[in-house]
Amino acid sequence: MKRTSGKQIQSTTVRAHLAQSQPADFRPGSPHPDADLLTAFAEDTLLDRERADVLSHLAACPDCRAVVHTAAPLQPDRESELVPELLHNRHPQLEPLPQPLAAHAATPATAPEPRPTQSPFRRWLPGVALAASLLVMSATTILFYRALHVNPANHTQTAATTPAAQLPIAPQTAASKPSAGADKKSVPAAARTAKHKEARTPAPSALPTEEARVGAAAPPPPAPPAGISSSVSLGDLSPTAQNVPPPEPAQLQAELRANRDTYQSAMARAKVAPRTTASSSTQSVQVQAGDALTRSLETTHPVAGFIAPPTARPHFRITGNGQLERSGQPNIWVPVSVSPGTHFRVVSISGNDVWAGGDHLRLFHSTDNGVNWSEVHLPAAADRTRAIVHIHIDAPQHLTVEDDSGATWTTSDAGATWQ
Amino acid sequence: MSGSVIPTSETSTFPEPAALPPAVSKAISALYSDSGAPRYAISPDQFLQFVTAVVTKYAAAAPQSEQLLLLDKLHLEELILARACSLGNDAAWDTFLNCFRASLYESAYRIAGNDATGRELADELYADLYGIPNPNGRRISKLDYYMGRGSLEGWLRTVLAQHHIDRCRTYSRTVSLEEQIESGASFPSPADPVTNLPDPRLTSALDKTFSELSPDDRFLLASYYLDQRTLADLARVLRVHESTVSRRLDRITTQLHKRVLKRLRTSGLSGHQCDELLDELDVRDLSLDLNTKLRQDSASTAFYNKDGSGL
Repeated sequence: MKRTSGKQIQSTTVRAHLAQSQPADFRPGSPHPDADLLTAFAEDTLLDRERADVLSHLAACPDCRAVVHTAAPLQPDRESELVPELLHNRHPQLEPLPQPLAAHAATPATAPEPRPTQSPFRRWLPGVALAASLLVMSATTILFYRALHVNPANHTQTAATTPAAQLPIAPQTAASKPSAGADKKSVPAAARTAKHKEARTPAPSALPTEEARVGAAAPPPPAPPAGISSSVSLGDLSPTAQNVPPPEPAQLQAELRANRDTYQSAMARAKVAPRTTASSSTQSVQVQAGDALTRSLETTHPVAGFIAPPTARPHFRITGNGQLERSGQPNIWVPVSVSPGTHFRVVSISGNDVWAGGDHLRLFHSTDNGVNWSEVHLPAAADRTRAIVHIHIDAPQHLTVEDDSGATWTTSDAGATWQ
Repeated sequence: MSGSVIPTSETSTFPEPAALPPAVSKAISALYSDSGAPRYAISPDQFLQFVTAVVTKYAAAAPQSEQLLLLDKLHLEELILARACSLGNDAAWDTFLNCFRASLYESAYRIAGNDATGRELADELYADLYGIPNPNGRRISKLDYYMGRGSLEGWLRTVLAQHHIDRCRTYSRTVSLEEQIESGASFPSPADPVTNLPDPRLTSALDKTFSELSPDDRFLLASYYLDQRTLADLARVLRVHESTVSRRLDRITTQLHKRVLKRLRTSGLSGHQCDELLDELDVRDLSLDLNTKLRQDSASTAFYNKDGSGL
């Protein structure tokens, strides 16, 4: 008996309702709210006490519910528009209405403001929905391009399995050095060449093979100076190159060893360079060479991530199982093999100095952003069953270590002596 | 309407006003000039009598603050207009006709569902508003029962609805059984009291749960499930959006289900048994009178009786 609309349907519904409910619900002598109270209830002008009483009665009395529902006005908007329209047609010779009641008879000319048919929220809703859609689309686009250009895992397989000889790399880089074995020779030359470049100038040709392998995954470098080739982008990969099957495990192992040797030789030179020359260009070469190797090793063969090469601004973290991890790129974390079996609790960084402490009062120190680590022993009197939980670096050589019992040790010479 | 044909009501039907606190009486007197009473030649004493009668009727035993709140919510201008019409003031009748005649007929047409019945309904109400002489020759106007709690227009709609329902009820009693069958009416078969009796624990849980409902929830449930009102109807009466009514109904039914489940588990049934019991439950098997469960007697002095007493 759901009603839709229309006068006839409403009247029929009232009749049907009364015919069905009258015998069971009629209670002679029961008090009913008068028309004033029912009107005030419908207009929400009752006092709280009265409203509760009227509601209780309405819940029990189908007759009064029928009165309330039948007497309910039309839709509020329509009702308020209907009355002025009817009152406007009153006889012109009648006396003017009293001021308060004249508000009922306000003509459209005197009350020209149209009633909003929608709430302000509804009016703003399409705009808000459009803005939200644009925001979502923009965020999706940004995330997609970030995943495409930043996350190397999306293109690891393609870049790793593409022979460097098939990549359209500039002749100066990969075309003449396609094999991994050639990388070993190319690093010193590249380092020497890059040493004379400007500070922060990318050195895409420093490690041609690895650079070519990770070129698609690495973020697009700025435009290189004339004469220097740029790295390879994903769009440069030909369909033929993408369909090349992956190399054999033995080949991967050999390539991995070659990469590691290349990295170690490069680092051996680069590690000396900052201390001897202290030039920014040399540091840039060191960082970029390390980054290239890191990306190559991490993206091509994730198992090779045990090497912790330096990056421009590395980040460290300790996982839930006490493993120290390092990140050179967003969302890529590589385990740092400092001391197998050590459960780390805290890591502290100041410049290139990295301090990591863990269970059994084991403390490790790295002066090169986590590339090389050395263990620092706390005083022999310390309780070795404790764990280091806090490392506060006051200065490059001055730090304070605290264990889980609250005992603290301070050093002013990078751990040589403790107080 | 010519003033010469308008009879005057010689006596008032108001109850004798009880003494109100001086602050309330003072507040009533302060409203005299703004109520439009001087326009209809109503003296301050009459005005005080009219308004005091209203406050006495609805909040005689209430604290002073509630009486002042009631005074603040009164539609004083329309109350004075109604009283002036009842007293036979020509200017008041002109104002009444100008302001409410069109809306009265429009409401009558809408409530009755057709123009003929609507016009008949409105004319009957007009006669009542005008006043019918009693056996003593005194004219009693229906407007004397208007107390200004709601708007005069809303009160007229409510009175029209009451008249219409009374007419429908009278009509339904005169319809023979054959006419009802011809019009498609169906009659329920007598219930079999021995088959499919529900678990007494379920009946008890439902009984207690329904008795805990608030008046608002009972009104919503009764209107929606017993009267088969639509969400739009309820939204109009409660002056909220349909979606609000829908959410409230969902919330009430969900809470009812949870409470019944909780009571069943408290009575010793496992969760699986509760689910089985409710899944296999057919509402028609319940000897539960929802009308009784949703009913809550109230003893408000403001209510009147069917026979008209209590005014």
